[in-house]
Amino acid sequence: MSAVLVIFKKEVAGFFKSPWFLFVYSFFGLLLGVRFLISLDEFIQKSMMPQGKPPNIHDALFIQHLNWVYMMFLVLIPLMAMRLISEEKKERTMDLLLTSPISTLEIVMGKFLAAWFVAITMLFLAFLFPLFTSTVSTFDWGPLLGSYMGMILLAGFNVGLCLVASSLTTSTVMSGFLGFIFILVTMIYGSSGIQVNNVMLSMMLEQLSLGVHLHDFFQGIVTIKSLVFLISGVGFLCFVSQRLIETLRWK
Amino acid sequence: MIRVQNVSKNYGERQAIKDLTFEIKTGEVVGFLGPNGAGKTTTMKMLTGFMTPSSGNIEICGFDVQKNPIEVKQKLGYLPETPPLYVDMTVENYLNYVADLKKVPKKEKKKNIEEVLESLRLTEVKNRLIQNLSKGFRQRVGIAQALVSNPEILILDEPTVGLDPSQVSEFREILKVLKGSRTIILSTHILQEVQASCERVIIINNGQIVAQNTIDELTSMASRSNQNSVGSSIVKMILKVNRPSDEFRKLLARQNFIESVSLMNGLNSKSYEIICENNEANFESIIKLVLDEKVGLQEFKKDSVLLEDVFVELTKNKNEVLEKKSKSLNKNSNSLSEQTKENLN
Repeated sequence: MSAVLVIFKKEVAGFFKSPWFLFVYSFFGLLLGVRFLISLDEFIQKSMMPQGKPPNIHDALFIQHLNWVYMMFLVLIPLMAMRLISEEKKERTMDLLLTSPISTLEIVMGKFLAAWFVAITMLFLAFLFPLFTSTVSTFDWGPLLGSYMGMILLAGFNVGLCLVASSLTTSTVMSGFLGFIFILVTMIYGSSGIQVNNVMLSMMLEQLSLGVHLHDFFQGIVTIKSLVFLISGVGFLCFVSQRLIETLRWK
Repeated sequence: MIRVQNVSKNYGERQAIKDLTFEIKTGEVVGFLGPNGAGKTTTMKMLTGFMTPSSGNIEICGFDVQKNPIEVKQKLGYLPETPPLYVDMTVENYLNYVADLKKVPKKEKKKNIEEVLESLRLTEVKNRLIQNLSKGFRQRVGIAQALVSNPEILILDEPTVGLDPSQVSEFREILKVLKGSRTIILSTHILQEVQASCERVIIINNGQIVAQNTIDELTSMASRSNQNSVGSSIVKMILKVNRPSDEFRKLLARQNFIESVSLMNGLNSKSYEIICENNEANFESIIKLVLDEKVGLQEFKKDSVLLEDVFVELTKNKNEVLEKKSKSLNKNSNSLSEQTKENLN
């Protein structure tokens, strides 16, 4: 069995065996349900209004719902990923991993994939709501699937950020806090961007913002540009995390 | 086969290991001895490939630790100072995980785990969470972890810390079983440990090797170092009698061949410490005195030279050595003046 798979399995089992995690997980599900009901109610009221165009179900309901997931991920992903590496360092179990016949890249990949997988199961939970809506209504699946694909990649990016945070410190709390800050910064940058006078530079900065790429996904537009940006971003974060673990050998 | 050549390790400004060179043959059991902070753990971490040396190279079974880390790690079992345990796992799950990490083939895995559980007497706790185990059990799980891949080379950093005396002797039994087929390196600052289970000792102090010998060589070194001013070998004898008296002590002290006599410390002590030249005639004369005076002989034996003395001698700082020497000179002159007083009496 490959080392990545060994670590992946152990971490995923660790998540689903922890009572705290299960509590947070079910709370997340509950919150999603309540929010969806509220959004649905708003949507129905808007559609009942006689004047004007009826709202689009994708924008008014599903994107609303995903925005809530996005907000919750700001807290949930740091909570989930904070212990991935910092705890191994604190509990000295890193000694075991680093003296086993596996590479540090395999360690990082195993951990990254495990946390990403759990985030994806959360997105699957959120996806159940549009899925059930489809039994009573018809809508265009393209933008919906595009949005979820974007969210999956975004979750991977955020897990990567938290993995870097976790490799930086031995304190779990500190690592969670750092991860939160990292995600918050990319979120704020993504929604507002930085305004500069130079046209060329402002275009470059715009393309570096998560918001721009996510916006495309939310419209159901999947471009190679966005895919490359997010996937290479995740790759870069995993690489940084791997380098940080390697420094343990020199300290 | 482990070959360490000119290995140094710096922590910033501080040089923790200075130019270490040694060799360990296949099947040897070697004790790494040294006071706290001498560099034992750092050396072991470098052997396992966990840490990179600042300079020099380490070769294990023909593989360079830096260039072929995966091959080397496949052959190693390592127990760090703090056992690397996932406290939220059960013992069996944990060993399963470690075996998977060490890439133990599926066919051998189950058998290996069962054997290790059996030999370390962990079978009855195999389904318990590690966090609920006592320190001794945790240490044993740590040892089990190092053994589960059936490694050619076993590196144990202070393996008996936290074990109670009966577990310590059990551990020695386990070592005996493991001996021969494997190369074992264990670090400790407990000297009996080394005397009980190792064939060879490497003593390090301040990051340098100060001695590298078999146990016998070291103890004979210690007895050689006990020489009097004339250069002949002296020995410390313990004499226990039933009716000790001050007169008897003075009588002994008056003998020419005896360098010093003192009643051993302790309440109701009946034992004398006699320092004399190491030869049969002297021992016979002492026995004759005991029989003539009818003090009731209970015991007469050589005070065995312990590895401890060698260790203390070798790991002392130079300043301390000087201090001790001047102290012992003072003591000698004191005891001399006492003797002369007694002689006058």
